[in-house]
Amino acid sequence: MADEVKVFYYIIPILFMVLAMWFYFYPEQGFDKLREGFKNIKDYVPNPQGLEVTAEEGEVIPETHRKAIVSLKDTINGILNAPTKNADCFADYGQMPDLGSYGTSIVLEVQNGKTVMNVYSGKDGRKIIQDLRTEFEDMTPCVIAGTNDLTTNFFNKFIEHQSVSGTYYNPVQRITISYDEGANTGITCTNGNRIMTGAQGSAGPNSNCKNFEDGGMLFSPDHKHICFIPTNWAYNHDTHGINNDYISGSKDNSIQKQYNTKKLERCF
Amino acid sequence: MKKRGMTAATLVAIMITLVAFVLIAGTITRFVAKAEDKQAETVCRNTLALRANAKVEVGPVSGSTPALCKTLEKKFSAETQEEAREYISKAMEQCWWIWLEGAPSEIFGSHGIVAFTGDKEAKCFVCYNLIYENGPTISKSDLLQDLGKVKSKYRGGGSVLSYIQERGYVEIKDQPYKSSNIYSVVFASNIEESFWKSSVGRYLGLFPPYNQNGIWLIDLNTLNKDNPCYVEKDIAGE
Repeated sequence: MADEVKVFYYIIPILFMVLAMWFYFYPEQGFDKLREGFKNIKDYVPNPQGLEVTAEEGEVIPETHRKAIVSLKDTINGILNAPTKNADCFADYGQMPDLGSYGTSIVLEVQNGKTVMNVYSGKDGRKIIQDLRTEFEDMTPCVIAGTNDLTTNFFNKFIEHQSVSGTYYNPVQRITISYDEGANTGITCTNGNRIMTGAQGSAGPNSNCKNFEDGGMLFSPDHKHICFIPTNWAYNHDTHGINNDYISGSKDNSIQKQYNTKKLERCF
Repeated sequence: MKKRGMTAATLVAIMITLVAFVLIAGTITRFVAKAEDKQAETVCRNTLALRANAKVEVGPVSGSTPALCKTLEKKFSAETQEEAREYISKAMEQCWWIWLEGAPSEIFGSHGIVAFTGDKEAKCFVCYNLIYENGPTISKSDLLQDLGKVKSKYRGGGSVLSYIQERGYVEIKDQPYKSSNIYSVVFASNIEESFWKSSVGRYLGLFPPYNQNGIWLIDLNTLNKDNPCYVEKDIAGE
């Protein structure tokens, strides 16, 4: 009797192993069926109330930002398509509102002979706003910044109305306009809109934040180059831009005042 | 006799348990490792759903079921730029779908105190390594444009970009995209761009916790060299 029981105890695991191996390896058997069933397991899993999900948001951009960007786009197109091509002209797109912390950013980039403008906004400013994406054919972006000679020439020519020799604008491959809180990039400055053409600290308007107090002024030497006007705070002009008092500020000969009183050539 | 019988029964029970454990664990791992791409994608998505739904928190400790995901390699060539861009767009869409369209806010775990845990909180998973064998060079801008044009199979009439941007964002990290190179499609969970925002601002409580999932396209070499995120290992440990 004892031997029979002993044999029985050995038979059970052996039989189990055989069945398991068959179940495991034989095609179309249990594990294949398990796999098929597993495919749709999510359908049977309840969605508990406590599951934390990110909010569904879609593309969101504040209306004031949208209007200003549409105005910028229309103004650039107005310059490019003006029936009369006045050299060294100015246009007013209406100034950019504060683009906001983690807010909206505008990127203009030269791509295959055209300039593409992409707008990012929404939660944490990372969503692409598709309907504001614009391609400007036959356009090169530029800035009034980059060297002291260049900004001196611009200042003397359009603010002091002196004759100058040499260039007074700087074509670039990329322009980014966004809101900067200083601490985000490890520099100390007042929060505000910022224009950049490269990495922090590189040549051009890339050292100071709140350097985009342009009063909505755009400059174009030839209706192909469209220039933004970065500003600085301390000097009449330096490598980083022009003193904002002479662009959007209180000076009688500021670009904005001269534009409003038609002392400067208008692009269209 | 009774004592011997109990010992043998216990032995059988232990054997059964061990064999069952080995078979089940082995089967699931083997299956995911050898599964066809579509099956692996489905298993990954479903285990992620389980993981998100089965999350248990006891005080500061939380746990859940494992995600059985693996990084898939896909070779492709294209005759035209449009063809290449569409292929990449579809891969990004599929990665977003697998990762539950970015719905779970902390699929890799809680934020913790970012100042102390550093980059380990910046977690991501490589859905695909796209091996671009032959074809024209494509630009970031054109790729972004096509993401807004290519129709999403998960949203009637909507674009892949709209589909991803319902809850997340798209980040095209490098450009241009040339052939004979490998590009990774990455699911990025709660990763901020700025070091300063994540280390100082968050630590001081100046900003709310960052909660934003997204899909990145990034050169595999850049991903390995710059380590922009802490890459979660797949089920094969790669």
